[in-house]
Amino acid sequence: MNPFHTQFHTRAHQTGLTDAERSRVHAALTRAMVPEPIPSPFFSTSFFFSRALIAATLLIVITGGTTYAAEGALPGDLLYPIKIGVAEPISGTRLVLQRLKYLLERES
Amino acid sequence: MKDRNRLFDAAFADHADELFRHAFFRLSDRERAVDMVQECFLRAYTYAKDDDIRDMRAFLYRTLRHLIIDEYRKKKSYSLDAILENDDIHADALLPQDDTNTIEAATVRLDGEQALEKVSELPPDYGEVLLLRFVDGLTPREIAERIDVSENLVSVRIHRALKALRTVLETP
Repeated sequence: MNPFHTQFHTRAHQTGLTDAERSRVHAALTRAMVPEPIPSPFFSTSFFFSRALIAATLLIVITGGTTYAAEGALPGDLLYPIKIGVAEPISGTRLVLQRLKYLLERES
Repeated sequence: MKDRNRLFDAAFADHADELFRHAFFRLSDRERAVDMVQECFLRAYTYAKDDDIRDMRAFLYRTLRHLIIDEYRKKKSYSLDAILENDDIHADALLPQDDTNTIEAATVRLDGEQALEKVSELPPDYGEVLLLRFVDGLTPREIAERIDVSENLVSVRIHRALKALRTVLETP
C-alpha cells in the first residue's frame, strides 16, 4: 500500500457518525420498523399446529366431498359402497332427528 | 417481522458509519450525509426483498448510490466531465485490461488526505469508484458488480478519477 492509499484510507476512517447523529438516525429507523405482533393466547402458529390444521382441513374437505359425490352413485359404481355405508346412514339419522323434532313439537 | 427488524438493527450497527463516510466524502455536506444515511436505511427497510437482505451491505450501498445520484441531479453540473472527456462508452478500448501499475504510479505523487477532501469536487462516477476502491477496499471486480458496469470500465474510471484529482489539487 503506497502512502496515498494509507493517507486516504486512514483519513476516511477517522470520519464517522457522532453519537448524537447515530442516535437520531437509529431512532428514525426504529420508529419506521413494524412492531412485532403480540402472540394470541387462543391461536398458535407453531409449526406443528399449522400442519395439524392443514391436515384436518384436508380430511374434512376430502371426506365431505367424497360423501357428497357418492349420493348420486348407482350399484356397481366406485362410490356406491360409500353411499350405502356412509351417506345413507347419515341421511337416515337426519330424517330420524327431524321426525323426533316434529313429534316433540306436536306433543307440546 | 422480528427477524427483519433484528437484521436491520444489526445492519445499522455494522454499516451506518461506512455509508455515512461514503455519503459525506461524496457530498462534502455532513448534515446532508446524515440525512441520506437515514433515508437509505428507511428505504431499504421498506423495500428490501429477501434476496436483498441476503447481501444487506450491497443492497444498502445500492440504495445510497441512488439517493446520491438523485442529489447530484438536483444540484450539480460538472465542467470536469467535459475537460476530462468522460467518454466511458469507448473507454474500454483505451486501456489495457490490467492497468494496476499505471494507477499505482499516478497515486504515489498525490497527498491522500488532501485528495480525500477534494473527492466531492469530482464528477459523481469518479468520486464513487475512488471511495469504493480506496476507502472501502473493494477490488475493481467487486466495484464492477456493485455499480453494474464492466471491470475494465471501473479500472478506467479509477485511473481517470486519479488524473482528475491531480488536476483539482494542482488548481490554485
